[in-house]
Amino acid sequence: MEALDALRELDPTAWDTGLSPQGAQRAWHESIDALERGLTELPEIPVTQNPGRLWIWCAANVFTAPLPWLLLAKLAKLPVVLKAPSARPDSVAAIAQVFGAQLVTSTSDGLKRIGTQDRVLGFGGDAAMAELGSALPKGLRQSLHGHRVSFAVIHDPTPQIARALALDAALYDGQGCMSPAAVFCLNRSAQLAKDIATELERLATEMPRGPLPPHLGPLWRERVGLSRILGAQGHAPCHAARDWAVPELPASRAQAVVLPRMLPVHPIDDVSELAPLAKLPLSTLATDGPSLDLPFTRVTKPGAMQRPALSTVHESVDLVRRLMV
Amino acid sequence: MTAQEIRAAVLVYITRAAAEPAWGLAQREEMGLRIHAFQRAQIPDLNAFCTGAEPQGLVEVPSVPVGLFKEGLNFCAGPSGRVFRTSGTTQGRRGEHHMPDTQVYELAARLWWQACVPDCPERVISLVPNPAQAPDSSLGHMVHDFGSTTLSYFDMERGVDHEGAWQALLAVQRPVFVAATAFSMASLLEQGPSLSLPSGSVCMVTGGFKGRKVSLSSKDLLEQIPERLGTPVVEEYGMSELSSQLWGGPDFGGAGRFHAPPWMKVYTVDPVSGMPCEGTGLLRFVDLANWASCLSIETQDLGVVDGQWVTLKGRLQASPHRGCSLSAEEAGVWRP
Repeated sequence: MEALDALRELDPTAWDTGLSPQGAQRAWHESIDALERGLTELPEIPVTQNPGRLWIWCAANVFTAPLPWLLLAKLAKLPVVLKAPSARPDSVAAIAQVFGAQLVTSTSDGLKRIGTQDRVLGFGGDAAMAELGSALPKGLRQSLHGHRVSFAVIHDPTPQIARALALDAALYDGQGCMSPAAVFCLNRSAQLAKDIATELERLATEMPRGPLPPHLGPLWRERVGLSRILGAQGHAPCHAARDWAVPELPASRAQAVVLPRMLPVHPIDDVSELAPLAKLPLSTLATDGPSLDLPFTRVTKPGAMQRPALSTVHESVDLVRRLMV
Repeated sequence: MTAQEIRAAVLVYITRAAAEPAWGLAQREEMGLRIHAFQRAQIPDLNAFCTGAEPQGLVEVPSVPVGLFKEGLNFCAGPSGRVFRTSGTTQGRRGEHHMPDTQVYELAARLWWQACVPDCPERVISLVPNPAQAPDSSLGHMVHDFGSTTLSYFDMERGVDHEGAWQALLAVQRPVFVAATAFSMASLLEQGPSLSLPSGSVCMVTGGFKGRKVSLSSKDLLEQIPERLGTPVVEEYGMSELSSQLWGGPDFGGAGRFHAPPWMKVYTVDPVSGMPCEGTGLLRFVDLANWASCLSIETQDLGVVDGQWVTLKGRLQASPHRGCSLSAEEAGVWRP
């Protein structure tokens, strides 16, 4: 498609993405490649018969997130308005131009301009989505997506799986709900942690981490410090450098917090230990084994967590059916 | 050195440093490094946390992030005789600062309080946690230790007893020390009349509002207290993970400006790298009164340091950029 060619012409390093130039380039082209592959397998998208526009309320983290929905809306011949995050409007503005979408940068302006025939697709934090939901006109078609968290569960680790997981952790530097917060490993967790560390070290040169947000600095030191202390108590040592870390921690120390290029590995004996994950708003499970009886909305192989295939469904919601027809 | 020897040395050092601050500052590096060596030898968890070469100065002593106090680690040299806990947060987990006893804590708190707020009345009207009800509150312990008689109008379940507090304030005949958290004081002032407490009275406020709704800002609160209660006001900056406090207030150069005791070195670091920086940075406190736990503490507060003076610049805020990832605050409610 022409739009994809035009997207490839854009330079993501010109935008504030929070990523290094290499990281932005890689994320951008991986995302466009996934769209291209997905187009061939996509079911036919019916052209919309209803007036109105699709508003996409973009989050500031994963700068490629609006692309699939813009593409699907284009196939449905549905006009789109992109609400750019005020903190990082550049990428959304450039993408809007490619798709001929309108651009809005002010929340209050956006809320004033939403019509009763319009539909809203929103991404962001829970608080932002709750605020948006309460500000939208009653009865408006909408699908708002707040916080989610993702994990990997590995049964039989190999160096290939370690490489794939390292890529999952490195793409977008842990931003977004599909990035792995932790790896739970049923066998040879120490070797898996070591292999992930080796790959993260390599990626640190090939695709350096972007700048660490200031508020994560103390948390980074805290997690690495905890890993060192527990390591001295008989647990595994922490593999860490300035821009990446693979702490191996007991599952009781798992956190649903993603730190950029920090991928904790938690040894477990049985997947039943993961039952408490059900309390979390889950997104993606990456596993080399069977799926789990947990409410993940997406299951994938390691290495594909941050590279979702083009789909009409997001978090178990068929967005084409809900918002585009 | 044994624990008894180092504690005795710290007691002597703090006592003299309070009387002769210049001497205290001159001796601080050497004394601090002795304490650090003792702590590394006595506290395996702290020793494991510390990596790299032996520090040559106090800013090189590895600084423990306050979050690690919530992880159930053992940061106490010897058996724990007392624990102070952080107040509850939305994360549910509370930080724990264990210490063998409170002798050094009490001496440090009292001496610096007397230096910063001389002639403060010993009769206390307290709107902070009562030690009988909350023995793990360092704030409650400190306030109770400052007074000879304490009337408490704070209940852990119900909060401030506004009616009782106002009745006590209106009945005051002699100078009193009114101790409150900012939130308690703001809620008290929302409800009662204006009065003029006897000359010599002092009001202390500490802490922020932690997101709770009050009609006053911190700055307004400091301005209103003298108008409403007729007393000077002092601000306290402290935390459960420290054994010393800093004091500030209008007479110390304005709201948010605090004076640290000579046995405490304060410096700022770049939040990301953790390296010492000039200007506004993340505050680290090297508190020699923390003789039996962690000498150096990394806070999540931003500030500017000028010698023994600290100007607070607020809390390190979560970046709004992370969209649908969970924040630490949100995710912390979960533990497998």
